[in-house]
Amino acid sequence: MAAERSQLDAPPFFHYGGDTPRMVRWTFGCLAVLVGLYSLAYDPGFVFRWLGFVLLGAALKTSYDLLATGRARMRLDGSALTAALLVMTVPPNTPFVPLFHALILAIVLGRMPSTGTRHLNLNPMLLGRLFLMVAYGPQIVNWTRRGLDPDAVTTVTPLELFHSEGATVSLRSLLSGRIGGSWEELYELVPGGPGELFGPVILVLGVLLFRKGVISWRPGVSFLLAFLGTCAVLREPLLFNLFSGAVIFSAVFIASDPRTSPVSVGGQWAAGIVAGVVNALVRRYTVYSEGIVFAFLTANLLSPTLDRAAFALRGLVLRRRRARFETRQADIASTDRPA
Amino acid sequence: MLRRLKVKWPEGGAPALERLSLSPSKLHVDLSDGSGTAAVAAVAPGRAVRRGEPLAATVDVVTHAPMGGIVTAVSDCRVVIDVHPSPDGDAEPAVRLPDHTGPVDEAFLRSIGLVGMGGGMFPASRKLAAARACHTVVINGVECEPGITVDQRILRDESELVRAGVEALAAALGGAEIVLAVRRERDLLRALRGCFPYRFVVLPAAYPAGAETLIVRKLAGRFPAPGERPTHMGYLVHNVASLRALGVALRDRLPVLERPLSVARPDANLYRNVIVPVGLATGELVRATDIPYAEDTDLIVAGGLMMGRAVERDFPISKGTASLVVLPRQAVQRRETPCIRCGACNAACPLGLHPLGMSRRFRNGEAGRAACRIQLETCFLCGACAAVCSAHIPLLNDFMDAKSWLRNDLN
Repeated sequence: MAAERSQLDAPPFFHYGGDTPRMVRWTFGCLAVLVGLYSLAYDPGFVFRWLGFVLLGAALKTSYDLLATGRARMRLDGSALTAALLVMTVPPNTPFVPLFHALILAIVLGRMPSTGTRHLNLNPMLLGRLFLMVAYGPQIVNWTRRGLDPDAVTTVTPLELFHSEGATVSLRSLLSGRIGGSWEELYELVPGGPGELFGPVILVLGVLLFRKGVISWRPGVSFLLAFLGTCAVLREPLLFNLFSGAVIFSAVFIASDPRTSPVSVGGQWAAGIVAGVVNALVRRYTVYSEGIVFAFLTANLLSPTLDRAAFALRGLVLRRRRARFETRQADIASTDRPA
Repeated sequence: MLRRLKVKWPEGGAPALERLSLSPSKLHVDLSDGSGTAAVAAVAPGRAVRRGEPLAATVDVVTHAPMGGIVTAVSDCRVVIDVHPSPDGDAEPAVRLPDHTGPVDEAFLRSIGLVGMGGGMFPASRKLAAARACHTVVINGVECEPGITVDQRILRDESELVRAGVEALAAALGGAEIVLAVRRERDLLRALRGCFPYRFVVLPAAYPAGAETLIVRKLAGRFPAPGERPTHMGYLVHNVASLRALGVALRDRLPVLERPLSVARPDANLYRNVIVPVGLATGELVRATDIPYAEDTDLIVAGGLMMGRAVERDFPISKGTASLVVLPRQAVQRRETPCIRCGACNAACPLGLHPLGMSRRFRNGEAGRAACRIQLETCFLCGACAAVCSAHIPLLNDFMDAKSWLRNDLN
């Protein structure tokens, strides 16, 4: 139906949007800041582990493309980003094999939309994380720092401590990302992954990404508002819940994932609200201390429906406006008509 | 998602309006009135015409000779004039309009050949006929296309002509209120407040703030419904250049013979605002303004970077040509890549439409469905969605094609 028309001859001749490689570069840059902070504060080797998995993600995607299409070009794009995010949200000492399995699954599923299965719109990183939770449960709840014997002490992140004992660590520790010490000498407090620390820094990076046109603010803001609203209704401590776990990291780097979040403005608000509410409910009522995976996969599943609904709703509003206008015009015409 | 389009303006402010002294060999005068009706020629090939003499007429518009010469070709839509070399240049004596007394009416607007000079070229006589119940006349000085500054220059340098035009229209509507809509720019506002004793409406300096729909929304507090025109809501909106042309007709008894426009080459920071006769070839104008242009590597865009179109060097300047911008072809070359679903197009749409959804449905042959059809009908093709698309999807092309498909479908 669409007539062929040369791009050169058609407006607009002024382009203001970003381009995908630039957006990916900015996202990597921001993630690298977090990885750098984590490496400086806790684990100098983490930066190399992270870089290794980023390259592995890119290599896996290139191999998949080679098998699926016969053509491949290695570059840092969505698959490398999937790997980068995945490594940042699991315990730093997660063994290689489970992560490798999860990465394969995430990248293969992540590439499927562009190779035929267009209805699948689930965040590949979250799928990989879900796979880890199901298949390698014990490995990804072991937050012991590297070098420590996991059996020697019982370790918890601040969120896990709150979930099991109802105790909170100071807000100052949460904000500064300096987590340590022990709780009543029963548990050793350990930081989570880089995705669970440095909340204020992540917020600043989120603002930067928005200013650079890389992410949309709506899904993240609606997610945070809905999460805090639900926590308030459930009488949970708001600031502790906000700055513990991966809430802020998810608001900036996961809620805004373009492929899986709705395109429509209304849909983005709705998806953020769904994710925020689900996350708060999972934290409160399930055995999981964090519900990011379930929250955003639920929102992802709803994305196409939300977009369709937003489109239909806009059409409905416009049709109603036109009907009112036509009624007004008919009234004017009948008033003007001579008796 | 992305920031609103911030308009880029020439460094050093809007250049002054200059009247170029040109000696073109030919003028190609466009006879169309924007409604598609064929014009009836008043001249035949071989006939000598004087500046200001009627060339042809449609039901709504009379077109006049912008310069004196010999008519060499006549068609339904165009008259070609071999221009006499005149020692007086633009000061060449013109055939004046008869004295006009009393309020401006449709017949007068038709006789001076006034059309919407913002680019739409809608006949002013028809607009006035539809606006008899309007309570407000709006001067649209919100120039938002990147790099165009001619309207603000007219407002500053020729304010008396604009005032004459708008006051005549307000009087024709029985003393309607006059409103000046301008973009938010401190120096411009300060300069204009002394020249225009009217109510000011200030709109953001972001594209597409100058669209009639958005100005009326600001004034009325609601968007026009699909199919509803500003005149239905009581607002008669006219572009600055149209009001200037009306002012010229009232003061000098001259019909619309010339066109003020911006000529620019942004990559070289070259900007000029000039007044030229209607019908001049774009190539000739670009040459006269000393703007570098090479046909094989550059592109001339007429009517603005956002809503204009690429034209050849022999394309004649019409009454609706508000600007000519020369761009390197390389700068506008784009390659469509798969959509990354960033949603920037949705966020950029000033009407809250769903550009990606509309484009996808059109490409899938579903443009006829009610929700898609009404959105396509509402879209006024500003191109903001396509300009922010990081995948370079030609959304505007799709909507142009979809709208024409819908029109054919309706017929």
